[in-house]
Amino acid sequence: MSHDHHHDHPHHHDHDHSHGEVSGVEGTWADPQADDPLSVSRRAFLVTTAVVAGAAAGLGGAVSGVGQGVAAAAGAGTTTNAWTGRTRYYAGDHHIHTKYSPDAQYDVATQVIKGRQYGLDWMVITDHGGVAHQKLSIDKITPEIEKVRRQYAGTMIYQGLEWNIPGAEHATVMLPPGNATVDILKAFEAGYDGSALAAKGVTGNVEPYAIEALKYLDNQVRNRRTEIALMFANHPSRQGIDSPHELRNWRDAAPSVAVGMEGAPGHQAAGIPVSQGGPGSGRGYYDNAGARADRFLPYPPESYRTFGGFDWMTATLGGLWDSLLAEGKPWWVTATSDSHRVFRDTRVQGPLDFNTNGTKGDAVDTGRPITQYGDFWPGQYSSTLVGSDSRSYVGIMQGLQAGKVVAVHGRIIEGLDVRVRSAKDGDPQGATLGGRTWVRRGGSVTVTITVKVAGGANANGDVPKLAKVDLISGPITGEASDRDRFTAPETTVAKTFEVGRGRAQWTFEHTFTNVERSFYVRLRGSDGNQLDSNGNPLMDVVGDANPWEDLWFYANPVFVDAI
Amino acid sequence: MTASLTAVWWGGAPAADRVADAHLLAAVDEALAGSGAAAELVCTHVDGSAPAPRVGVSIRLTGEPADPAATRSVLARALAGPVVAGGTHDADVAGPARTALVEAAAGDAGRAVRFPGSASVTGRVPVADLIAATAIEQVVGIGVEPAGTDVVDTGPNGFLRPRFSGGRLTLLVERAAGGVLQPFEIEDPHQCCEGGGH
Repeated sequence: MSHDHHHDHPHHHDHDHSHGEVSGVEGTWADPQADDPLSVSRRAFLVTTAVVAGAAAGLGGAVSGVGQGVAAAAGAGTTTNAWTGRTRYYAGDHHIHTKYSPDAQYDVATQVIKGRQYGLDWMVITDHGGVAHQKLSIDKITPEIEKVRRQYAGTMIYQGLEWNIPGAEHATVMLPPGNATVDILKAFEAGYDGSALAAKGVTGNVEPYAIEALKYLDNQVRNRRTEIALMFANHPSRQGIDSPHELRNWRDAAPSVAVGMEGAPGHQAAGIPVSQGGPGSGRGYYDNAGARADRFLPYPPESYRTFGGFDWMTATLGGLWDSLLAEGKPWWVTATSDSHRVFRDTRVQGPLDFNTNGTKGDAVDTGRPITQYGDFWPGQYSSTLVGSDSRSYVGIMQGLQAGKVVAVHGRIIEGLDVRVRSAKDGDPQGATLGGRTWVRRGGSVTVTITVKVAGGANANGDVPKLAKVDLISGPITGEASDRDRFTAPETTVAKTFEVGRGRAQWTFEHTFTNVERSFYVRLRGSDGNQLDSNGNPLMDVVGDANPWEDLWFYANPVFVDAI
Repeated sequence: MTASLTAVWWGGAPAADRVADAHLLAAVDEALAGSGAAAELVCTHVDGSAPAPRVGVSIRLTGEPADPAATRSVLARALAGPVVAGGTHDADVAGPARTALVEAAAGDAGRAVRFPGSASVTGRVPVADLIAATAIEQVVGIGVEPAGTDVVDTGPNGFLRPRFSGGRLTLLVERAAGGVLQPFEIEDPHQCCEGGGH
């Protein structure tokens, strides 16, 4: 973040705008305005400017107003992500490094083979943005990804980027395969990667470049150069430099691109204690004390730690994530591996100089397990379950964009069906994760949860036991007047369901009666091993946090409009 | 910590490549060597007066150097940034140096890189001993309430970076493996993307 706050970006939110189909994101992406020749030519010009001039493009917010939040765009009385009961989940990971990152070491094929072995359907290759990566690595990794895609046709392997957000943390940027995908990634990285900007001598408050960058991606969609583009903020609390106003500004600048954050960071093996043969670091490598001068000073010390393996923004009941959801706008959470170098793997980085080669070269096998590494393989511990109607690159991304997403650790659950509806006073069909439904004021809303528990051992050889599911709810209080707000004090656990033994799936129900205010619900669940007296996750102890002994899932919200 | 009224305070605005703890202390000690004064309290501060925040440093000296102006200018060269004396009301004082002096005087912010007693601490020390033997005035736990008999593992180098809060030099601690406490700020936190271009 930068200290110089800019709160005055104009945003046009047309709540009467409809995408024309109740199914929202599952439908067409045609934007009526995109067929307006004047609009198209104007946008084409703006995109060209951004490609050619990159970061030098005007920062005046000339393209403000484009993009509509999927859920936010729906007017009251409509439903998005309508419940069908047939949602199929696809497990994946949007944060994976390879030897084309200066601090990682594996081939694309190695990561993909491991991810498949651990049950992943989709993966995003996200090497670090930077000058050498932009100039050298992209051209080298592109054919490697294409080859692996052909070899493992059943697995969706996205080419992405771990973007150094100007003025902030890292982020996944992901696109589906397409004619322009590599061109877009290259132009984006050259123009908007924080380290590329720094190399050009761009200093001072660079936050506006992040906004421009997201609008650039949004324009690539609007100009049909790519069908969809997404961004997730990675390890958002690790260094305290993703301030609340930056998160809000990203979301509002390009609501169909900037859709969420890692609810749980990767590097989950880092907290395994030395006494158990582990690295003995902080879980997620969240072990610093807020050392950076550009951190957001009001963040409390505990924000630099994970809680039950999840980032403080997500794990805190009534915390930053809830303060975003209380605005009634989409912002989804995920779980990833951030796999660079895997705990107990025997390989070390290749010998090449990254800056001149764009890669470290092939990893070198030492023949002995290296216990200092703090990462898991893709899917070994963390997975992001995405509901989609089609097993396709765009379909998965539309599910991510729509928030049909559950973040899961250690196979604590295998599936989750959530239906939120008002059978008598609103839409009887109701909505599922990431969606929106409605109820007449004074009516009742019923949440029906069917959770499929682990049917076998996880990658640690344990059959995890889900102990409880918390139904969390909070009122929608509208757009935050303080863009740096990070609390939502009215958000609480509405109901805790205890999960028994001996069944493959469990169904729970809770009814909110006499609903007068718009609200949202979300779910989390735990193995019950490490809870405070209120049932919340404990702060992970640096050097003593075995991730297998503390498993959680977090499901994304459903919004309910009281009309 | 309450500084005496006669304490000599300096504020500096080190260049970006001099703000790391070891560089900072080396620059300060080198500049003060032979001056007749030493730095007994050295704190870093965050100055947000410019679009990109910068680090300032406050220094409490054991006394007035023999030639204050000359020593300040040596220190300014070592820090590659301006150094000013506390109590001066120079409007031209650079942001980070001014912020450092203001925060040091108020005792409401500042991260102590060196403080009285810090050099004597190493390894595992009970909370009560830390408070007795150093300028640390309170030990505050995150997610834990430290008792005087609880042990803080300061590591082989006795790494402590207490921060001023509400006028008191406060060491934040948290639980650690093995039933001890550890400072919230540790000496070697994980460096992300080491070797990267970031």
